[in-house]
Amino acid sequence: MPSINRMWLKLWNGKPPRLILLLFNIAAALIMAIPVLYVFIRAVFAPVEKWQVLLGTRIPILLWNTVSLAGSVALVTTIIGVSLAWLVEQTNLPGSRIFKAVLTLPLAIPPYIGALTYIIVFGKRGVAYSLLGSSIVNIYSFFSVVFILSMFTFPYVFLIVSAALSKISGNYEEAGRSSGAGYITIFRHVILPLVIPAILSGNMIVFFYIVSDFGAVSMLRYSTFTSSVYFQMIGKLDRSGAAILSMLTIALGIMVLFAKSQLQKYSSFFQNPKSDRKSRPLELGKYKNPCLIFVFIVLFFSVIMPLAALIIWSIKGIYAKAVTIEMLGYIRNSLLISMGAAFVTMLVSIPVTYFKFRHPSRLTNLLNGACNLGLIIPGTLIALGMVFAINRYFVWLIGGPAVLIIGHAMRYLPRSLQSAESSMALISPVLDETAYSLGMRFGTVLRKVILPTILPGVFSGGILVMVSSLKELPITLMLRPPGYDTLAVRIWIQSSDGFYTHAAPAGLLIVIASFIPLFYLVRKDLEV
Amino acid sequence: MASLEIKNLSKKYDGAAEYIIKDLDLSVEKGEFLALLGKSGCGKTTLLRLICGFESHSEGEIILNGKVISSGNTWVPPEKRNIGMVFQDYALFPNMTAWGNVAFAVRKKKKRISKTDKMLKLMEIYDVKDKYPHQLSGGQQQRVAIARALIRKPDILLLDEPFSNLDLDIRAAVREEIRRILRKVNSTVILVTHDQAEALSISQRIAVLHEGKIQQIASPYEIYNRPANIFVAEFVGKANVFEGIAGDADAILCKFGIVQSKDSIPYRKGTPVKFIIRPENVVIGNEGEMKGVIANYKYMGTHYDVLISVNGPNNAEQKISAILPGEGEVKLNQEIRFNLYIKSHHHVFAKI
Repeated sequence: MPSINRMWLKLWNGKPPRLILLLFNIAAALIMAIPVLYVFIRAVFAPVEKWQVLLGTRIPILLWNTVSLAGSVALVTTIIGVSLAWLVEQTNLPGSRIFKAVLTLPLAIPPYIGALTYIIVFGKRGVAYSLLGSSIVNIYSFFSVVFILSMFTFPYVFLIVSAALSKISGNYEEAGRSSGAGYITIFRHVILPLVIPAILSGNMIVFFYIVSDFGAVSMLRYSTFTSSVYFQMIGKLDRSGAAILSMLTIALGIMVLFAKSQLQKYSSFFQNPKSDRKSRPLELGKYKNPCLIFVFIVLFFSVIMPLAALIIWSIKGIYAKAVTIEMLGYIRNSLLISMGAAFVTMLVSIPVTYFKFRHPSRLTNLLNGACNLGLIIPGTLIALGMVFAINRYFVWLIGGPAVLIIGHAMRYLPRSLQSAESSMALISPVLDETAYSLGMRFGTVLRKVILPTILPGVFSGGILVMVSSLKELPITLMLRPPGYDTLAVRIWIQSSDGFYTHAAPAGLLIVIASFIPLFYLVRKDLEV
Repeated sequence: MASLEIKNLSKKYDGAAEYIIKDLDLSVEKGEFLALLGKSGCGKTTLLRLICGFESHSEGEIILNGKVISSGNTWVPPEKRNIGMVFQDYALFPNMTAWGNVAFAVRKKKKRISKTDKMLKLMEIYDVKDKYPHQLSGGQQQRVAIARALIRKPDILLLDEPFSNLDLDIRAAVREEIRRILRKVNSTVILVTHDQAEALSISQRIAVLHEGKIQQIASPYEIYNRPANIFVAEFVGKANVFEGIAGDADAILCKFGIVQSKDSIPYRKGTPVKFIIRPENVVIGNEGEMKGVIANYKYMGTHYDVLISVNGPNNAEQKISAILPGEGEVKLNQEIRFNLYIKSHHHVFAKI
């Protein structure tokens, strides 16, 4: 027995957690892992013929569709995001501080609502058609899909790369110049290599976003692994087929993550930023106007046109009596689920975060990794796993909104964890130890030291979860009880039926709600 | 022949009320090692950045080897100036090895390898050529930075506080090494520093910069022994500063008595003056005419830095820094006798 005790202490570096805390974390990790495990088991035990049929027919096409779409969007967003970040951070582009804020606005427009506005404008019987007699472009073509998705995801690259560019000490550019190099040489050999890690991270976020996106991709009638999981499940009621496709989605994600970590090994540098003086902005000279036009074009297609379409169609919708009393019911459902999900994630994030910071060990990393699965697992997949698990063990959950709240909470738990962790990182363990040395009990330390510090982070995490959950589509569609409609569901149903005036008001409401967290994000930038 | 000439240079930052550099003239000879000495905020880094072309000046002109590089109507961009710059934090490119950093400054591809190898060997860092900046020690990083600046055979090499990032215990040795190497390549150097000991020990000439103006430019010996004004006198070494009134026969009357000067003082009787006596010039001995007690002391091994408290005729207390030999024990409040005299008239200044 003593040796087991010793091993136990060694695992926790002499600081074993309280049993109840450990059990809570194990339970949370298990619940998070169940859907993935179930999908895995169902895929592995699927009939061999099913594998053969799918491998022979759908999988090669889906793989190519998914990879080419996600890859192309990652490429386009990199070009747009990096050039905008460069213009805003390194040149004398007029109004760059305002652009820095405005260029993040597309993040408030969920891609499926963005896709809806493009359908309104460029669709078969859209605005362009009625004005010009032609839709100008086929929005269901590959290039249109790439363009539309890029317009609503480039801010991820833009934000990360401009943060990295602003951290580069101006001394590097000056050292380059005094070595006789012009700006282009310095950019190619010094500045660009220094932001490559940021570009890669931005790329990765966009890639995973596209791989796991369901709404926009399906509205634009494009099929990827994620959307096929949904249609395999809902349309064909083929669970093992859906499980196989899901498993391949995870495998693809893991391969991409691995490739990224390999690339980053060769591209991470240690700056010694003792001087944080920024370099003098580059004079754009005669290129100033072309650059401004470029920024305006991007803003037009990512913010101005989508918002204008949404607002005009919402007004049309009001006149067409599309805004009925039933809308209040949808809003109530949306709020109930998103607030419920926010509440659950906030509750869970406190013990999970405390456990991660105060009891680090290999086991902790494993449990915490399970809680962060939502980062790389698409929503359709979580829903599929939950369908398996619920039908087997939790049949009593079916039929109420609780199952939706759990699903949303599982998908967005990582967001609330990140927020809580950034606050928890501020409390040094020395502070706890000081409190204990003053004779405080665990409960008192928790109440007086830990909670006051991390609660703001937990709340802002809750708001993030709530807003994300308002927009959530695939889990809601797959798990909702019959007839249980939310705003997002209504947008989906009505735009698939072509009632765009009915879809627009709900879309506008979601976009307005999404501005709230973005406002806080951007305000920090404006104050600097 | 002057390598660098600065005429009438002024610089005011946008929105600032005062000039950071005002009507500055400076001439640096070819092959000379000049130290630009000043407190932080005196404008010395700005001056360096103006010479490099990282900032544009308000008035005046800068001439390098007879060619105007900055004036009202000429402005040569930094990359065309052929000026080597070593930054305070070295600014080594973190994505390149030591070799890559130095080779970056060789624009012609043909000779890149041979030139870079040769420079790394000269700077004695060839064996760490494949390491990245974060893998190098402070001293090695500095050598890479200097190699990168020297490889283009610059018309002038500028060093911005190059030793301030090094640990104290290796600083003096590194300074010696760098001095030796720079002598070998015989380049013109301007070193910016706020450390007067560093400036005195390394340079051939020192320019003392204060409030945007050059207060004095002279050899280290001159600067220390014949300071042009009271600011230079106080800044380049420890000094006891006294106020008094010029009297008869090379004597100055001050609150604790009459102090004699070794040579004649060029001030009329009755002129209010300030004068300095450096600690090493306070003569301590039993035959001394003045009397005081030791108010504080620091044992430095070779000697004691002591603070003597003197009571003047009107009970006016005065503290005087002095040096005592390292042998023998020193106690607080121990009585001590000494003589004060002014070493030369260069240490007496009219009181403004």
